Amino acid sequence: MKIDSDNITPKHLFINRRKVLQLGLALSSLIAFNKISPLGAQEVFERKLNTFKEITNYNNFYEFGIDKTDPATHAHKLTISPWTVEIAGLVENPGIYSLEEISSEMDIEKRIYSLRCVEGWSMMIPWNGFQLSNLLKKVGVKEGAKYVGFETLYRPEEMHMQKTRVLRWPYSEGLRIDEAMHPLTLMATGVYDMPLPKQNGAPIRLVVPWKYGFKSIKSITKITLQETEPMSSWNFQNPREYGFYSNVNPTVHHPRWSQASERYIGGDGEGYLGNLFTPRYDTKMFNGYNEVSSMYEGMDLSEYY
Amino acid sequence: MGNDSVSVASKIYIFINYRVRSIRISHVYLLLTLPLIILISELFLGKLGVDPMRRVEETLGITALNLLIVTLVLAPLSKLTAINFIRLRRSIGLMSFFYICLHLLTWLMLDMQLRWSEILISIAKKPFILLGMISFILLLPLAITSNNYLTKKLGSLWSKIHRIIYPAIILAGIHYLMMAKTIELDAVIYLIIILLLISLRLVKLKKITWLQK
Repeated sequence: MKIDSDNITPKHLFINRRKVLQLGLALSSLIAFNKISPLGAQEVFERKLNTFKEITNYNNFYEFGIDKTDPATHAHKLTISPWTVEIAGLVENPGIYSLEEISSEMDIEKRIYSLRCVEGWSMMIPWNGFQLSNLLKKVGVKEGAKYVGFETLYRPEEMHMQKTRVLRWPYSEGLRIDEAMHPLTLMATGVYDMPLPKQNGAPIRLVVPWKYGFKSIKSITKITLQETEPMSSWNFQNPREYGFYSNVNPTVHHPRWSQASERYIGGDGEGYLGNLFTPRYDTKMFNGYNEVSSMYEGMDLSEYY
Repeated sequence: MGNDSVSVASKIYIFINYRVRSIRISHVYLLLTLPLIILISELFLGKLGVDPMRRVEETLGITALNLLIVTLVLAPLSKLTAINFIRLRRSIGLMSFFYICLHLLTWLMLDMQLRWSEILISIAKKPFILLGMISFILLLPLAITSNNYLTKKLGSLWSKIHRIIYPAIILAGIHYLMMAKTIELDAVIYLIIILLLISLRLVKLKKITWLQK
């Protein structure tokens, strides 16, 4: 079975919803969201939102295949209920929490973020979620926790690529504790006010808008607070190409992609031909989220890329 | 019985040989525009997904590589079967170059959008793009000399020039392999096929003489 947006939501509802959302989001993104969370540089902020269809049919989720369309085709195999997240390591209240327990304790808010992929493309996505910092405060971070490690679900019978060795499984990522506690760092549980689609990392994923997309780990089952730098799957795979920090940085060249600019997927024109002509924008330092720069003062970001 | 089978085989051989010899070269050109026509119709039908540009770019590149590989197959195939496929080679090679040009133009215009400083940085700093560019430049003299006038004029130099196909196609294969974030099976298979075909040049193929009786 192939899952697409039409199968999830009846088309007329979907279109109505989109109209309402587009209006609502356009307005609220200009007024309310700007106050809720600073959204980076004005140029980034003014870009049009990507459609639900674009967001759910263009994914890097290697557990389901390496093509951008593979996740939309294969992610339906994933069972997301029941779902638990283990919070371990240097925390006051370690344990295995059900997703319901976590969500019920958190205020779900809307955040429109630009997602900049290390491959040189970007999208504008309206997420729903909560600040990771709120969750970490709830479980209580112990003294000495310097990093936060994340792990994706490991279930090869549902995620067929985990039977191969294209990446080190389970997919792992990490943040420094101050990055994890930063108000921009989001745990997303939805997109366009709908539950997070499986190909986008259901039921819960990380979104760190000033870092390349692969840092925003999907379908999280484990969060560990620790003293040492956590493993990052792509960093492990190819440390020369993917650093632990992976902050969006137009001045650090990637061996295979231009990081000076980015193609804004689907954003410009209407229809399929419109999508053919994707505008290219200059990439901004920290993806335009300059408020994070103070965390990296005194660091040589060309060394810690 | 033995004689019967030979005569059937030779009839098939004569038939195929006749068919191949009677293929009009203009028809080869026409047929090889089909991948482009399919690609354009897929684009208009919205079958190229959320990022059609990348699909167009990749499809053009793969089509070019496929045709280049076919040009490599023709010589050993002609030797093996004693059927003259070689006469089709120029048209296929030129059509491959046509797709390479479209691939390159797509990259320059739709992908990089003529941001020349970034294009130059990409060529200088990104090995897979550099290899692709070198491969293109190597193929230029082959395309230019693929006509009767220069074939005659250049004589034995012509076949020397056209040996450039071997480094050019290896670079194209590596260009494809290095493009991906991880090792992709397709690209590995392509490179293996390319290397096998080139190594075929090193072994002398015997004609299957029994077919010609």
